[in-house]
Amino acid sequence: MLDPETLEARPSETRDLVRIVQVTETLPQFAAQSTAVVCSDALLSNSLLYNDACNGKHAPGAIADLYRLLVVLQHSDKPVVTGSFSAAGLEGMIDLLAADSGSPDRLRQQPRAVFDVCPSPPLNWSEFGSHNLIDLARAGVPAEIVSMPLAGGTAPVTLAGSVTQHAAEVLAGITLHQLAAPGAPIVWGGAPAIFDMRTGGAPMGAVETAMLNMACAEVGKHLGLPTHGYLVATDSKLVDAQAGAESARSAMLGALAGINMISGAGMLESLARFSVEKLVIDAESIASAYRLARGIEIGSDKVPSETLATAMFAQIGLSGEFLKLKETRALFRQEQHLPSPVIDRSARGSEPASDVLTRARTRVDELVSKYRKPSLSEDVLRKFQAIVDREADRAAVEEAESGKNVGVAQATK
Amino acid sequence: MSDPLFEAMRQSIIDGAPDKAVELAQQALAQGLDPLQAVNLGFAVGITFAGEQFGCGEMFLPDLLASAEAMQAAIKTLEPEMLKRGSERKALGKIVLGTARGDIHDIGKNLVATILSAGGFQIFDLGTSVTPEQFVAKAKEVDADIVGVSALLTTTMAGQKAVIEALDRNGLRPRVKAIIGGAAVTSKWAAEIGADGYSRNAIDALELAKNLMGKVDSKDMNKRTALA
Ligand code: B12
Repeated sequence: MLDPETLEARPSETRDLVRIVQVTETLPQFAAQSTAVVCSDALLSNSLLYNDACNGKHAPGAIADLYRLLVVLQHSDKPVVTGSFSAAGLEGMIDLLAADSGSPDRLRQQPRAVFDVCPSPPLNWSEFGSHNLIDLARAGVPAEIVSMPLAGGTAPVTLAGSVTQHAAEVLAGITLHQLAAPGAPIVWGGAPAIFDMRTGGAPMGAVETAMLNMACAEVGKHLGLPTHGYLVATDSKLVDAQAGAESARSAMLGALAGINMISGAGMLESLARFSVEKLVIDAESIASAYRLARGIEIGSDKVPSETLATAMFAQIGLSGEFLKLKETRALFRQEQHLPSPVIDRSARGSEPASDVLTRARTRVDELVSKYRKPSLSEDVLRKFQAIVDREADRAAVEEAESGKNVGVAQATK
Repeated sequence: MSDPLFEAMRQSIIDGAPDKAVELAQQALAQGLDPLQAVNLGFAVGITFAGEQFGCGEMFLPDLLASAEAMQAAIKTLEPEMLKRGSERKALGKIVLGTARGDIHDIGKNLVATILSAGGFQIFDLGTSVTPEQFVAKAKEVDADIVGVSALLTTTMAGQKAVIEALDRNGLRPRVKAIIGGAAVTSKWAAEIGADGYSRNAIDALELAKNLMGKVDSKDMNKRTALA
């Protein structure tokens, strides 16, 4: 997490994830809610689970994936993008979603979540990834194959070569997935990027990375599959001009390519750091990208107008009073994206003018105060509790066993 | 050293030209030159320069890898003669590396291995998802000086702690030093689990390892070369 006050990175905690959810819930730009960060307080310091339902329970590190899904389900009404961290972790997560939906069948009919599953570049599917694919297919919960070729590092240096590797990895995954359960829901996803030749990093803000995402999605579209990409992220570590430029640019490109789902908003440092303030700034870029994708239209169903606007010219003549026209009032909300005060278009005021991070902080506070927590029935909460208890016990046993192997005292948490 | 042969050796490494490096090494042997001198005054000057250029962003990873390959080729050519003369080139130390249990990220760990090896360390890379017992076994087997554990997931950072505990339990520390790294690792975490060191990137990892071996770096090129 980027701490908005100290401007330094610190391990993310449950309160951070809750804040991310609160902001995402209130912003219509976000169609789905990501289990964006891993909560270190539930893992390493053995603090209490955040929610009342599991009060008094410790969360072992091995169920960090389940824990963050739990936090999101308790605070969000939106569709969820998530993923498990191990082969064994998936079952509990699916059970949690089934409890949320009412039953495994209801979950299958209308799945609330999609799971990211990654091949291991180049051209390899790990045991963990393969298990996840097969288990998701059998549960009827959508899998999103996030192939991440890094052009020049873990994939051919040519962009075209990396698009080829991406397609091969995703097709191999789909084969496995469809053999396990023909017709199971699948997303042609990806996080392709170039490989940084100085640091070995994955520069998510590079224009070539955006080009890769566009090209990979084009292949998926050709195959008639729903597509996904990783954009709207940056390599900057702060919420600064670089962060804005890279994130907005790739939002636009993703929209132009018609990618169906895009992950990455709010992310800094090549996906290693999150900022809630960046999330609300990115929301403006995303709204602009949606606007761009809609293109130039002629009026609306309710208020038709003609291409050359001759009727409007005729009514106003040379007076220039377009503001008075009923068409103006009826259409301006559709013609223009009206940004929140995060975007500075204010009339000139006192100097110095405010900067975007300051405005974003205020906006985050406002959105959080607007947020209302959804209420879950006691029955669902009790089911959640039972699943978390069961998984925590399983993880504790596994941890103790692997501890025994190295002669580590049983007392390890 | 302004000797044209040493100069050419240095350049062959900077250019990342293994064939040229081998040719120059053979030339040195034919002339009856002390192979250790060829390394210290020729080839190693090149790899040190390449490392520095990489460190300041002037050279790129593919260049550095080519330099390392050229260096290896030169050493391989000179090795038999060095063995004969008993003037074996000593590694700075032995380092066992791996990614923590349950974690499959290895790009950063591989980069650290490359830089440490180019910097003069002998690396034993155990790969990904390595258990504490595997780390301990390898450290014993090769009589390691340093054990390095990479972890990219918040959840697998616990594996770094487990490795340190296992090293302790097996009586390997403090002689064997434990270092850690990875995107989510902080100095606070390193201190909390009692690691001997931590670094944010591969270049710093080399400095760290040298410091732990008591081989504090000097800006003086010749001194550096003598160590390499
Ligand atoms: C590339 C990548 C992948 C690739 C890995 C390919 C590979 N062969 O390594 C793939 C796509 C396979 C992958 C998979 C997954 N990933 Co991933 N991945 C990344 C990403 C984008 C970059 C990592 C990287 O290579 N960086 C470049 C290298 C050079 O940097 P580095 O690793 O930090 O290493 C440097 C330093 O840290 C240091 N260092 C590193 N190790 C060591 C060791 C020692 C001893 C020392 C001294 C120094 C040192 O020096 C290195 C060189 O400068 C990161 C985000 C990020 N920016 O970190 C996410 C990230 C690490 N992944 C993440 C996740 C969640 C996953 C998955 C669980 C996703 C899923 N649901 O399947 C799986 C992992 C499964 C598993 N059990 O391991 C999360 C982790 C969240 C968390 N806090 O726990 C991250 C942060 C992304 C995110 N925000 O979601 N991933």
